[in-house]
Amino acid sequence: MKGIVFTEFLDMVEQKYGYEMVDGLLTESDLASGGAYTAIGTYSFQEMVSLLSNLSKRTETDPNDLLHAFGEYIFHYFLKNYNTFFSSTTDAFQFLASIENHIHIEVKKLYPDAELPTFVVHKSDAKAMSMEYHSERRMGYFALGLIESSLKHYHDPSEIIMTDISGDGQVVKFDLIR
Amino acid sequence: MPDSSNEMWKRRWLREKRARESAEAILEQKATELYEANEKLRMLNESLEQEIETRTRALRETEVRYQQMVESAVDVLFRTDKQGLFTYVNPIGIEKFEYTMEEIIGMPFIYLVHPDSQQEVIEYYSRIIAEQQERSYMEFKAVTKSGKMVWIGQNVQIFFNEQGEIEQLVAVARDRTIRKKIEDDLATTQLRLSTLITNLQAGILVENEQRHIALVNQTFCDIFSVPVPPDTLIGTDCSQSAEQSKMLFKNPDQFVARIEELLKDRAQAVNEHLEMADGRHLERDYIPIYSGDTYLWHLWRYNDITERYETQELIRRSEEKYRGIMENMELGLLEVDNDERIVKVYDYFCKMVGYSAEELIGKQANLIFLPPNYQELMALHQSRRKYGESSTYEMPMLKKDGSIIWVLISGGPIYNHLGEIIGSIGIHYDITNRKNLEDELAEAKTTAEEAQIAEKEFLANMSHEIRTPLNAIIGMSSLLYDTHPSAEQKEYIDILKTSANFLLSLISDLLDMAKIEAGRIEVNARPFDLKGTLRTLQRTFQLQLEGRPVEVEASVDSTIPTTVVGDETLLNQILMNLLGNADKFTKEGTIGVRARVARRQKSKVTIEFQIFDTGIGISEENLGLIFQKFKQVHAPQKQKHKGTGLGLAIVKELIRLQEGAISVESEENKGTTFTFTLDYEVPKAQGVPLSGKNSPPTQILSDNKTLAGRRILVVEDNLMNQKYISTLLKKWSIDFEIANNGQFGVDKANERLYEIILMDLQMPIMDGVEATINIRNTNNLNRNTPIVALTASAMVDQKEKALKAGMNDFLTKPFTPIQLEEKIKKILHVTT
Repeated sequence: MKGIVFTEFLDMVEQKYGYEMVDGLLTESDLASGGAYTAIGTYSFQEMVSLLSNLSKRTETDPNDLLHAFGEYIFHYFLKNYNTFFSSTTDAFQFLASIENHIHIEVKKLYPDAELPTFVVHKSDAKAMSMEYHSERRMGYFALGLIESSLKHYHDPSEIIMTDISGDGQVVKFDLIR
Repeated sequence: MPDSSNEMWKRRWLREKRARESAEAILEQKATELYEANEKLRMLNESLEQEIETRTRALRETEVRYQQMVESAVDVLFRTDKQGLFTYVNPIGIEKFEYTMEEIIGMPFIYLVHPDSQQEVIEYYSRIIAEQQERSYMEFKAVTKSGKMVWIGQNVQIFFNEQGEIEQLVAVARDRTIRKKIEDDLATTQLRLSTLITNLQAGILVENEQRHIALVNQTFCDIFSVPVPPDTLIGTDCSQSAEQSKMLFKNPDQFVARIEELLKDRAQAVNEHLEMADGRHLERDYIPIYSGDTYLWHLWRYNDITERYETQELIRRSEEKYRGIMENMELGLLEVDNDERIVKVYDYFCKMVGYSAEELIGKQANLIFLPPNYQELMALHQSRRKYGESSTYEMPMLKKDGSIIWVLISGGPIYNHLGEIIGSIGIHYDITNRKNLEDELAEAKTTAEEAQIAEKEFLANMSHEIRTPLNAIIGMSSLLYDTHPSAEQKEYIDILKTSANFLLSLISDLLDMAKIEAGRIEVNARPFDLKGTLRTLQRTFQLQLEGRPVEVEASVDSTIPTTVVGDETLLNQILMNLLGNADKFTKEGTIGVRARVARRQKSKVTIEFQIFDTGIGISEENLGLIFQKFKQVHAPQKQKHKGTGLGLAIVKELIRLQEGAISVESEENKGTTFTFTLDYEVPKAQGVPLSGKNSPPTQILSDNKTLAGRRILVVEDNLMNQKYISTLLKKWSIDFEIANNGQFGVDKANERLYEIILMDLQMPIMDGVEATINIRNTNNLNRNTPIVALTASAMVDQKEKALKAGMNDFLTKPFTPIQLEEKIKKILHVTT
């Protein structure tokens, strides 16, 4: 997993709970990297699982809520650093549809070793959109945060219906209805 | 917690330091990688540019070249899209299919395909596409804008995409029309030739240069009893075939030698005759085939001509036979065409005319052989050939040496197989000897005939000349009885008169015979009293034979009709002759006549007359001679048999003239019987007035005056006759005048009317015929007066001539006073 996810996650924890919480997580979690994350490095996903799990315990917060919040948090990072992806369109559906075939391709160019989830758009028209999230990392709520932030960014009032298709969070369907 | 806080910040610092270091390491590595990648990229870029430049240049050149090729190609190049619509067609294609570029681009390819080929083309390319064949070739009929048909052969490359769908189609097409036509023609020719050879009645074998069979037909196999089908022989090596098959021929070595010679010379040889061991006859052609000067292969043709050969042999032998016969028969044969040109001439003919065959062939036969005056006759005969007629004629021909040969020609037309006349054949037989003989005979005959005519004329003339004075003697001697002669003088007068009468009968016989032979005697049928005639005859002879020991008998069948129609004069002459004859040869005994009806038909009766005597008879050997002229049967009493020897010959002729027949029976010293039959018509009504002859002839002149005062003109030049006639007319007190010739007669006739004119025929100055014509046709007193001809010439033609001239009757000199008297009375209708 890309280092940027770790650095942004820890930034969010520091911002919400202070560095003590960050230090605590890094100290008590068994981390192969020793917790010295740099944005341009690459680290095991397992470390993220440990950090998220220990944060959940310490804050007594559902890990999905943490991921949801992390999605909303990181959206702003993306918006700030990769604004061109957002400014090329004014429509939320259009933006979401471009993730898989445009944004992820560009990510791959920059980070050939990046492991990215798959977004499949099944249907998209003026009224509604249906898309599926596929990933072994089961980070559907992280995606939900990102989607909600995107809608908000484009002032799109659409309602989101999230359905766990696979039952284990590996395949999640998002139906957006305007 | 400051401690723990410090510891925490220390950990944070360490963590950040470590993170920074790891980031720097990553960055360093990334920078290095980036540098290297950049270097590679730069180098790649440099070579790439170069490569691109090179390739671009090459591509441009290729493009130019292809463009030129496409533009200048002789073939049609085109491209279509996947729907088969033209996207490109080169100028040749534009020209070929007569569309403009604007018209053809976007047009479906199938529009160019001729309706005949459309189905085939669609099926073919459907299959090609289904099988994903990239390259294919097909020939089909195309059609141009103007509707012209063009054979097209096209190579097509189809470009398929990854999904196996057609992207485009590129084709190189060539006009195959001429080649197709040549191919078709070639195929037709080949088919025709092979069919011809296969079906030929001749055995055909074609060998190539290596003497391998290229072609052979069934007939060939049949002739040589090859037991396999001809097709299986193709390619077979024939180099040993002559040697292998030589035993089939009658002269094996000769056969092999000839084959080798032919193959070596390689010169055409036809119609060579071969005899097979089994008796068949073959005809062979060897025909080498050259292409220019190059020898390609050769052809053998064998024909089984056994039947024809045998027929020809038969014909040849037959011809030889007949030629031999012809040559030996001494007949000259000549064949000419319709223009008389000599087509064929046989040896014997050459011998006949002295020319050689070479000199004659092609020449005009008529110009060479015919004397000028025979051209017309020959042309006449030749013209008959046109109608298929044959004819035989005699003709002289000119020989080479100019002499003449007489030939008997039998000419006939010659026909060709279509039945048309193509000329004629003449068979010439040398008749020169016969002709010469004939000429001599004809000459002799002419001479003889001329002599005979001269003799007859002489005889007739002499008879006439003799009669005229004789007439006077007889007449005068009759008159002498009136001059009161003494007994002695009377006796002299009797002798004179008997001698004169005998002389007259001799002359009469001669004249009669001459008349008969000249055909101048005619049968004059008139009703007469047959029984009376026979009685008169009997009495005449009784008177003649008074004082001699000879009885005259007459026995007449009572059934004989009183009146019959026939020639009384001729019957009298016959009976007088025969009775005279009987009298002549009968010294004593009986002579006589018997008559009976031998056959009676409706209006016809056949009377059989027999004249018999009891005289000396005729010996058997002489019986056959008695009817011949001038033959007299010699007998002891010679002086009794005086005469001309013409009597019986005349009798026979007179009977023959009346279509009767005479025969004779005789026994020497016993007597002779002549039997003859004559047919007479029986008139329907009996009782026709008959010329009066009931009274016997008398020597005494009547001096009655019943004719006194009648006017008669006598035209007669002969003084003695004038005297005789005028004595008689004076005695009957007739008023008469005499004119010395015809001219005087005409003059007298102009002066006075006469009741009768007696007209002599032969007179000087003007003859009787001319005078009569004159009197009858000019205006004179005697135009209708009866004229009686007086002539010594009793010939029929004289009489006719006289009657034609207008004379009414006829009196033959010499005539007796009674005959004259009766003639006058008849004309003047005076009855006694």
